[in-house]
Amino acid sequence: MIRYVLKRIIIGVLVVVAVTILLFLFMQLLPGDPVTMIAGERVPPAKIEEIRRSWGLDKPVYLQYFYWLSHVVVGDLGVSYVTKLPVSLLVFSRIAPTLQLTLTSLVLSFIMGIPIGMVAALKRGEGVDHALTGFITFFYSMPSYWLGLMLMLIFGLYLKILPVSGSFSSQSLILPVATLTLPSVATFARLMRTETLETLGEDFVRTAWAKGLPMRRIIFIHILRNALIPATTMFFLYLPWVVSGAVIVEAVFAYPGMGQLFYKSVLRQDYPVIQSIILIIAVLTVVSNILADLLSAFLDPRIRIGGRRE
Amino acid sequence: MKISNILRLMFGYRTSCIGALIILAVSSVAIAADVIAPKHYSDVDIVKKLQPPSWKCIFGTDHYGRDVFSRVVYGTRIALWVGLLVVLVEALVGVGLGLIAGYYGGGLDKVILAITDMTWALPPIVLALGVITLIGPGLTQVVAAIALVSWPPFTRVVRAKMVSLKEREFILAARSIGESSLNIIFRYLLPNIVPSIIVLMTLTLPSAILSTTALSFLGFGAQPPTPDWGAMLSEGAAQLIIAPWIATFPGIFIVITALGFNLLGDGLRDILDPKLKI
Amino acid sequence: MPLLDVKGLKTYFYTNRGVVKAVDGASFTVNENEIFCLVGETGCGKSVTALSIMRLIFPPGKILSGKALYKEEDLLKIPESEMQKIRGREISMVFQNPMNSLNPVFTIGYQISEAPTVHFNLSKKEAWKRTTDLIRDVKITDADTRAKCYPHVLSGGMRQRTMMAMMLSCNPNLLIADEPTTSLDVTIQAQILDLLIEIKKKRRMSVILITHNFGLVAEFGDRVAVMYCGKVVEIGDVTTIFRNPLHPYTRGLLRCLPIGYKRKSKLGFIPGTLPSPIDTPSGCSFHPRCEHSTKSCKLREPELVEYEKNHFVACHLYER
Repeated sequence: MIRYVLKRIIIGVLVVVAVTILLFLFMQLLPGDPVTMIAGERVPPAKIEEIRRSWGLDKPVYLQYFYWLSHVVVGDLGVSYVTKLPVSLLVFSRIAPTLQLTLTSLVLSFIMGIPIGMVAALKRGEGVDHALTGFITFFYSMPSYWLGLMLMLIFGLYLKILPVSGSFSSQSLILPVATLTLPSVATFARLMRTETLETLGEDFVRTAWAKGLPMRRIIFIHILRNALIPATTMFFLYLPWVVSGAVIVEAVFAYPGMGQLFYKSVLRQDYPVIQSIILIIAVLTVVSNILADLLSAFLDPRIRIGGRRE
Repeated sequence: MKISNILRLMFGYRTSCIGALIILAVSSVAIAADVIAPKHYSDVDIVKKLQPPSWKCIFGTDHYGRDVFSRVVYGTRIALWVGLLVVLVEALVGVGLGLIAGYYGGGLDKVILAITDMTWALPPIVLALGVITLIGPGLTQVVAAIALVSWPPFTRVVRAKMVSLKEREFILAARSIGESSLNIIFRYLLPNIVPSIIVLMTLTLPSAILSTTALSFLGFGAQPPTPDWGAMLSEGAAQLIIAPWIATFPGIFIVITALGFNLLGDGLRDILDPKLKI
Repeated sequence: MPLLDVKGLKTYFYTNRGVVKAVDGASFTVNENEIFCLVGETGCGKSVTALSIMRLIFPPGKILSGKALYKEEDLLKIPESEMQKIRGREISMVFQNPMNSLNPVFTIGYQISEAPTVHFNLSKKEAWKRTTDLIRDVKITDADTRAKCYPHVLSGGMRQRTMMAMMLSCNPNLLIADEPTTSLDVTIQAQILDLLIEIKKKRRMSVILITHNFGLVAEFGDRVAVMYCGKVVEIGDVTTIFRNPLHPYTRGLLRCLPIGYKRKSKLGFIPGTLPSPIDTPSGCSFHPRCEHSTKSCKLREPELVEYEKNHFVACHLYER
């Protein structure tokens, strides 16, 4: 088990290193000289050369990478081209609102999606299943930005019961969270339905019946315990995807999170900010993937003992 | 399985049948757009701007007085075309990598698998916007960006199938009679994977449409006056309070189109490859 | 008075490709304290018959008609809550594939103790005692440690022993063993069957042994029923059937057995293949493969008649 954990963490660190190399190359490929971008056009060339040297930009590329990395590790993410402010100042204050939005939505999707998927599977082929599957496919097919606009229209403008944008009260969280949650509920329900159906067909469920166990026990102990393994793993694997959705939702609702900052930075071609946000999200992704792996090892003795993975 | 059998089963399933009908309807609208649309998508009539839906102009007009219905109808062409293009590029990249990884195995397989897992784990919209930063905005660039971040399911499925098929007796037999690698891949293995690829293409098409329109909505895709549904929604969002119909109708069409492909895909999966997961 | 009396059992599966008549009017009886064998080729409906008796047929499958009288109670009629008390406690079943038949996320001790806990309301301590005793009964050494193992770390033979411990945990009167050794190594097969016989003698219970292997029938069986296309075509004592097989299908099956190494004659075979269960032949389903087939075989289905005492056969050759 400890070896398994260590292996996962080492792989995770390697992935982060690979991402930093890619992001460094990404900056190299972009047009424009970072020094002129920050210092401005009217600075004399001699001064520019001086800054260039002090930033280590006259060194070979691989040294520049290590120079950049050493700054990143201590939280120095460079300076924004547009606002001329340190990127860390812009980005770090945005992380908490985005995590608040995404985690709330993720937890809600999980809590709603699991029972919906399970009920649909247990009532397979009946009216309940058709209704729930219809609901799942409908929200699965819905673009989140349009859903956001429609919710705004209905609850904010017609019913006038919820604020439509910003983040100044807990009420203003409701619409963005709902927009982000409904499609994710569909994702979790879909997964849970497939997994439950698959578990239902397993031989060990037949064994449980043959032992004379009551249906409640079969469903809530034998089936749920197995079908939940992929669903809980999905909780962490899906976190980065919800962040992806947050970019759109935050743009629609003018929600002051990392997603909105990212969207605006892409519009304004503020490369250092783009680079930093992608890096933060990549780290978040790697961490949530490691958590997913550890959780599935914890839940599944086949991985925990013997380290097998199917 | 014979094509006729598949068709019979497909229409036996209620969901895939509804899906097929929706796709048929949407495709007919795309083909007959010139006939169905009362006006051209870029016809400006500033006098009649921001008119609400009425019998004469069923989806209303936008802030340039353009007929929203006509624009939505022409948008069908772009949506289907873009969706198809994205899926084809995805399939080409994904299947190619999957075949290589699955057939050759070893170190190459591990590297491809690592890249696939990493690409798939990262949030697609964020990654796609990163690509857009590099190659600039535009509809073609959006197609490239989305295809570049969403091919992993194809690689995963194809690789997994290859790994299990490779050990089957008929492949060992083919190898023992001295068939070349290329022959084995394309004449023996690929035909057995094609059904799964078809299901996967049907199921990824709606997400391709959703992602490309999302990027257009954010302003990185189709530029005005192209009647792209995402771009129309973006314009409509600005007028949401005074003219909600501009944003409403393109969205409904996106939902219907995506729904059609999802329903068909689910049905096809049940018939062709019930164990397929994405 | 037989322990179990199955009459005209019909179980169909309604699939997309058509109706599969898995069991189509099977009848037989199982007496107390005997090993009753159900033999037939793969797909002849043996397993479905057993599952129908346990009422473990799920959609698209359906038990259409028939009776399964157990201690004068029709198992196919009683409410599900009553049936639950029968399963595991009165009748239990060991399945073919012990790997997939055990839940991978629970320890074997937990899985063995589950049924007695539910059926008899045992305390944790009592359940544990019973579990370790059961593990010892099925000849697994070191019961206390083994009980804490997960199924995937055990060998195939061990898993099947676990399965048996689980199914014996509530002292059933009837144990259905559905090809319990098919997926095991040949060397392990004999051990498992010997264990089964030993336990059967000790507990004085009845066993329905489902198999496609006539060799096992000869070695272990008391009575045997031969199934073909969802129907029982011949029933009798094992010795009677081996001495005087009546149905052409039974004769064919026995001709396929290598009896004695001195015989120089070639092994026999039955011409043709098992028909598709979706469209079974009319009349006697065996007629396309039968050397004695006549016109009436195609038209009318033969009934199960008593040819001699306790020896039944369903074939037009023997109808009077």
